[in-house]
Amino acid sequence: MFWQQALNGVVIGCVYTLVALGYTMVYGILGIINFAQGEIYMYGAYGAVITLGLTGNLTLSVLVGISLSCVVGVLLERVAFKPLRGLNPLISLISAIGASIFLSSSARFIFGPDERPFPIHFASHMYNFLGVDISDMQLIIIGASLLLITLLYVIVNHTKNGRAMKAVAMDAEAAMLMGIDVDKTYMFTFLIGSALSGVAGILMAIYYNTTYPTMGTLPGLKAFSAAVLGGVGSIPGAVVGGLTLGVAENLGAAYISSGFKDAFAFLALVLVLVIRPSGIMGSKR
Amino acid sequence: MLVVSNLHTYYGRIHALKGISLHMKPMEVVALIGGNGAGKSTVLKSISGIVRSASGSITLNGDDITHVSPEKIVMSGVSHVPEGRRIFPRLTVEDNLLLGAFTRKDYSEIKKDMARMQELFPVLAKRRKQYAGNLSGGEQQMLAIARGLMSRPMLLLLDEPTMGLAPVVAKDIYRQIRYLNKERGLGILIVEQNARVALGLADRGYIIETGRIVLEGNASELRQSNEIKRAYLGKDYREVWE
Amino acid sequence: MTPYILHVGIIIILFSILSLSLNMAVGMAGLVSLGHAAFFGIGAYASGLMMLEGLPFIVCLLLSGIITSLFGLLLAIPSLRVKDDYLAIVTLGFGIITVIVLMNMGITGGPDGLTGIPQASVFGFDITSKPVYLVFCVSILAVMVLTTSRLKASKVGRAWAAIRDNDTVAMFMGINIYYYKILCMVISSFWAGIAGSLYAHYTGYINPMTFGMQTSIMILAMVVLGGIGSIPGSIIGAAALVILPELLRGLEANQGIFYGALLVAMMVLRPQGIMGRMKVTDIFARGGS
Repeated sequence: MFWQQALNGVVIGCVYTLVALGYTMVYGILGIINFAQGEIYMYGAYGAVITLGLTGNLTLSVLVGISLSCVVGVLLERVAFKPLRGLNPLISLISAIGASIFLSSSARFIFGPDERPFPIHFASHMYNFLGVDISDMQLIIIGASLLLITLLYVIVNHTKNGRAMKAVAMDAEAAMLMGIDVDKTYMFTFLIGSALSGVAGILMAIYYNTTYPTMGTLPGLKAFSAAVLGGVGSIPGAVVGGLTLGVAENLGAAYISSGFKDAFAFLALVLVLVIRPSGIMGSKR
Repeated sequence: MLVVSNLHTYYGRIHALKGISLHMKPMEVVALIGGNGAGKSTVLKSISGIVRSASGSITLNGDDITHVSPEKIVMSGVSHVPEGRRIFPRLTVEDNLLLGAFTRKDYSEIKKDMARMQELFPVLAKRRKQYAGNLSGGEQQMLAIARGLMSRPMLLLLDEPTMGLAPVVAKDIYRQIRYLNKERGLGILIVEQNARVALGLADRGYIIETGRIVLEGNASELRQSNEIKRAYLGKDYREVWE
Repeated sequence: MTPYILHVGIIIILFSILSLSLNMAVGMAGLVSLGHAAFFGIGAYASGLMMLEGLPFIVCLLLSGIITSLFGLLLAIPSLRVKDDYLAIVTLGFGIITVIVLMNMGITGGPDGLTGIPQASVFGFDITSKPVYLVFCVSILAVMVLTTSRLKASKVGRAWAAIRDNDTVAMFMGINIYYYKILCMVISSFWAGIAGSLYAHYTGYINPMTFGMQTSIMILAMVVLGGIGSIPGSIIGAAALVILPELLRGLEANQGIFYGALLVAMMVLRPQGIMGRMKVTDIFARGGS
């Protein structure tokens, strides 16, 4: 029972991690909390579900979903954040909240308020490792997350664009003097963060077999908590935070009270911010 | 090589530059001297494109670069080493140098330039893999200059390169600057509060006060000017520099 | 006046109390909150439960303000440790937890909430008719506006302003920033609790969802829209954001499209708000370059 719940927690934790990485990169590089990250996740899911309904082609649908997330993310940066650059982060935060409300209401308007099941039913095989059941969908979520985290790590640490991102995060003006196009770097950051959230949204749409306009709100807030838990701005922090939150939440629900399941994440958020604002892995704010 | 004419720049409502004109010949060292808030750094920032000027023009080898983006200006051969060094503290020395060559695509040449920089500043070779933030002030300044050179500029803009450094270290840095000018043929526009030091190094100088050029001339003439002696040099400057 | 207009009037007054109480924290002392609706809810539940136990309305009204200010004291602790966007997130967490607790407790009636909250009467006078209740609420708002503007001009207001502009400098100036931050949270939550009590007795029915994140965001939006730090601004902001959804009623669930776009446009085009003279950027300018 314990290990089973822990495993389910790891699976959800992987999804939180993917979204948390978007928060963390945007915060680390632009210094703003992108409250609408959960809506980017939701659009990814819708993009895939609708394309799949129309074409029946899974690969194409996943690509369309990710692209839709990227488009939403980049537009968001241009419209709601770019004009506010250099102002107090609170202004960007309110703008982001507005964008989040706008995006989820638009989704409701465009796609309708009802839940949509995922068009393809995945025949679910169960494997058993040492008494713990794991489904193939769970394996896919863990595998895809590992792959994407590794990919992100390589991009940030071993490519020219990654070096530019770090430089902009540390000192945007000095980065400009190096000939780095700061605007492009911001866009690239949003692009990567949005793609990761898009993948997370699609995976969850399959896992829970449902897509709806507000599906991104709670996972978005929890992923943010995960990012803060690990230390905003830190990539390993997002991973540690996401997994910790997923596991703690599932164990809490199983052993303490399922009604309070969602409260655990936010309790952790409040406690971490009050006791250790830099997070588990963070060095400084 | 560089011609700045009648440049006006504002920060919000503050009129920071009120019609600055200056020029530089190739391979010249020119000093821009003035007190705090005179607008020295703003001149450099306007040239490198990170501050937009309201009117006036900047041309480089005849091309207008007044409203050109910072990355294009770097590509056209201007490198700005900012005040306070502004190295990237949580990146290694090597990564800092690579960022200096960000606009270049000739990867094999970049590798060679990396080696040359480490020859020019041997201390950087020793600390290649360390975080730049762990370097001493003088080492950070050397790194900032080396990073600026990585874009292979023909014009280097240096903003107070010895600020806060011990005199011995400062002298070392000036030796390097002189070497870069004499042996590498680099044009250098140097901003200084310390007129004595700057005029010892430069061919020509401009004195800037509250956004205006108030005096210009050859370094030797400026050193003789009574006005300068009184305002910027202090009575004992000869003892130090000659 | 039609009952409908009276109803909208009462709601505007209640939200004016809420936005003004939040503005006290955000605009006067620089303490940002995204969980203000939780205080609103605590006041409403406290008052509702006490009324169901048979306590007189006026006692419930005052006690619910005091009980809520105790929770304000609790939330003052994080406000001493974090600020700006991080404080906003802590308060957001507090707001979400409050709703979850209200949803899961037996005494609060869980997701169904409390029903049959007795109507308000003051010293034997029935004040439940809409016109009378509106006058009652307006007079409470008047008391609040009066005390708040007095406070703003006093030594306390100046201490808050110093903390808002730069709490480190304020501390060096000899201002006990902990005391003044706590005081601010306590007074701010007291008024939010009063608004909750007024709301509970007006509708006679409360449930947790009324006091969630959406409401918190709406109250903050009222403050920002009206102008951070401006007392008349808070009332104008509240009126605008209560009336706007009424006008957009035909759009039903799609209101959010306009509401969200308005928030973004407001931040981009006029971050200082309708009545704000200061730019939010001046108020919250971050130190350093």
